[in-house]
Amino acid sequence: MHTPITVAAYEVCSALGMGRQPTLTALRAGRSGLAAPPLALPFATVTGALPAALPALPAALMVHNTRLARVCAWLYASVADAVDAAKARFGADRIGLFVGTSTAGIVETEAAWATIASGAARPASYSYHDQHAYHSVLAVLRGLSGIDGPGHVTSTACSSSGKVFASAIRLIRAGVIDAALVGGVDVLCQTTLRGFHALGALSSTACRPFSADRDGINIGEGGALLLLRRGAGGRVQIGGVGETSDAYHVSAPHPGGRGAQAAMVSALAEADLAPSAVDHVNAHGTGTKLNDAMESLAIAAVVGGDVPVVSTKAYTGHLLGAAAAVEAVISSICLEEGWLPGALRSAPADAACPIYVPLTASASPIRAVLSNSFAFGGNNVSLLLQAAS
Amino acid sequence: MRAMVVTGVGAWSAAYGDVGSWLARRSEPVPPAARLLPSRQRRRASELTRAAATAFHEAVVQAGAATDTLATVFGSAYGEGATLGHLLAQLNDDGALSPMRFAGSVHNTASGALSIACDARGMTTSIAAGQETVAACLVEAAGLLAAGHPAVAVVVADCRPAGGLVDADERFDTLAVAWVLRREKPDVWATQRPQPASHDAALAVLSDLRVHPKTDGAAAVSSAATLANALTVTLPATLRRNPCAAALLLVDAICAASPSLTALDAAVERTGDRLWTVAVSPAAPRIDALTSPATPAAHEAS
Repeated sequence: MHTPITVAAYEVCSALGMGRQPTLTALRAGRSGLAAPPLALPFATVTGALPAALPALPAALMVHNTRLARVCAWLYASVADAVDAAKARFGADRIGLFVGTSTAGIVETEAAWATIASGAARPASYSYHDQHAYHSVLAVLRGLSGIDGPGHVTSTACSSSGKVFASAIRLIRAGVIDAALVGGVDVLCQTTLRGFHALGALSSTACRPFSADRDGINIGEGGALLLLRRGAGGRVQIGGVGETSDAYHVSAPHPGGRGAQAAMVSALAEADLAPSAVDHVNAHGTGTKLNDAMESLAIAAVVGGDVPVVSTKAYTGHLLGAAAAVEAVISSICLEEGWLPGALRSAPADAACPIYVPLTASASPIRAVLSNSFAFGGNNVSLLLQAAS
Repeated sequence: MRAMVVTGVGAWSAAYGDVGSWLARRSEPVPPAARLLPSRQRRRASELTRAAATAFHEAVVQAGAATDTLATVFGSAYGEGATLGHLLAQLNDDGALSPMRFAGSVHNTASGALSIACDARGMTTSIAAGQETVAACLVEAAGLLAAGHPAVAVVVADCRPAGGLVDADERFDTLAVAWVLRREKPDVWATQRPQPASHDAALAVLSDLRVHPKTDGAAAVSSAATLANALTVTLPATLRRNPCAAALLLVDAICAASPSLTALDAAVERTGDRLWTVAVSPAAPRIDALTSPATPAAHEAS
């Protein structure tokens, strides 16, 4: 058996709220955080924006000043104590850092480009290296935490912040590190909103995962950080992570969900857990015709048609590079609370989706949750989270 | 981390179109052939993706690797910078983005393109770590090998940032380098000098992958060996600022006649406070066609 991987601490923020309690309160109330976009767009859509202003970065990190960095800093404040304890216990160089993002500092780059295009000089406060670049996230989190172990940003679109769990767990099990700060962050920006609109993937209204009337995604922002460490002792463990590829198409999933299925099977195999032990699936469930059709086939093939399946993207929007980590935290909350949210706007059900999508919340002991994230290029990840024995 | 055996190497840049050209320092400009990509995908692919595919192809051919079962790790500090520039220009123009360009702007574009082209249904990832990108890819590969993957392909690539986002003296040319790695025999420990692999396809063994604080430059980095290769080997100016430039140093070391300690960041004196190094032990028997006559002087000092 593999050494247990415990979730020692976490924090989350999304359109539902800043932190665990507002998130749980909104889920229990069946209230989504989706609203009219805070950005000017030439088309109608709905987005999941963070509901609060973000505090400024410490002076020493202002060279990395982006909205994304401020999300990282807000999240880090809640896990700082746990990270300090891990540093004291294991040593700073025995803690890894693996974070997913798709947007990085693109908001600031959009603004800088517009300034340059208007004929003005590039803003003095803008830095491609320190703000735009993916590694600016690492610099901010290392600067805040003092974490000195191996680290990288994973940027595989919608699977980014699920894959970071696998990177961390492999190194923990190889004995290279004893703990890792993992997570994902993404912010609303013109590029992704207009890009998904150009692909025909964006819904003009609030998204409807697994509904017969679904017509696309809503984009959300925010993120999550989780401290993983070897050994038992917490309430939630990561039992396994499955990573596969569809090898099918750059922006459409394999219709039969072969890669999605293989990812879930792989996660279960790593945990040595039978599919019948899965109590809940937090689906990728973006609300597109294609994803929800193939994912429901894949879920039914792995765990059958009776396991409750809910996409919390109907609450938060699709956080892209941060989705997997945010949904891992939501899944952890469900395991801790013994409670599952109801699906929003999923009626009428799509008869072609052979899964059980509960419209109302339920309270019951939950021991194993699968959380799926499937990305462009057919990059698939499935996380198995378990209640500690 | 356990030792890793290099079984294939690939490289592409505008000046040096393959590993042989680089080792001989013989500039032979050739476009990135990217033969693994179907012609339609190849035509639409960015230079970065074509470069990555070209380097990957050279490495997997040399390794004799089955590309449909290979785990792959793609590394790029800045990702699809040129494609992003096109999108930003469209954003500023009429605000309508090309869906195909948007789909090709994600960091994992090359990863996805090669997965599809090779019908590779296993694990692939795409990571970034600034000047530590090359090292981070080797660490990720080591983790995959330790987890039981028999072989891993690593491809590092970066392209010039778009437009006026950086100053002229910060620009660099596109570079892609690839390696195929497999596990060393289980009784070889990473802390000892590893025995060269006896498998015919082995080029070198990488061991002792580790990070050092570089508080006051190269002098403080290691007491055991000279790390001046990052400073004394003069990379072409067009490539020196590429975050993946150290990959060329690693190619030199893998194909050299003697062991070396190689720095995995070619801008040692410029950026960050951490420097990764790896011990490189060329395997026997030598593959003579790849032995460089231009072996960097630092190797003789180590």
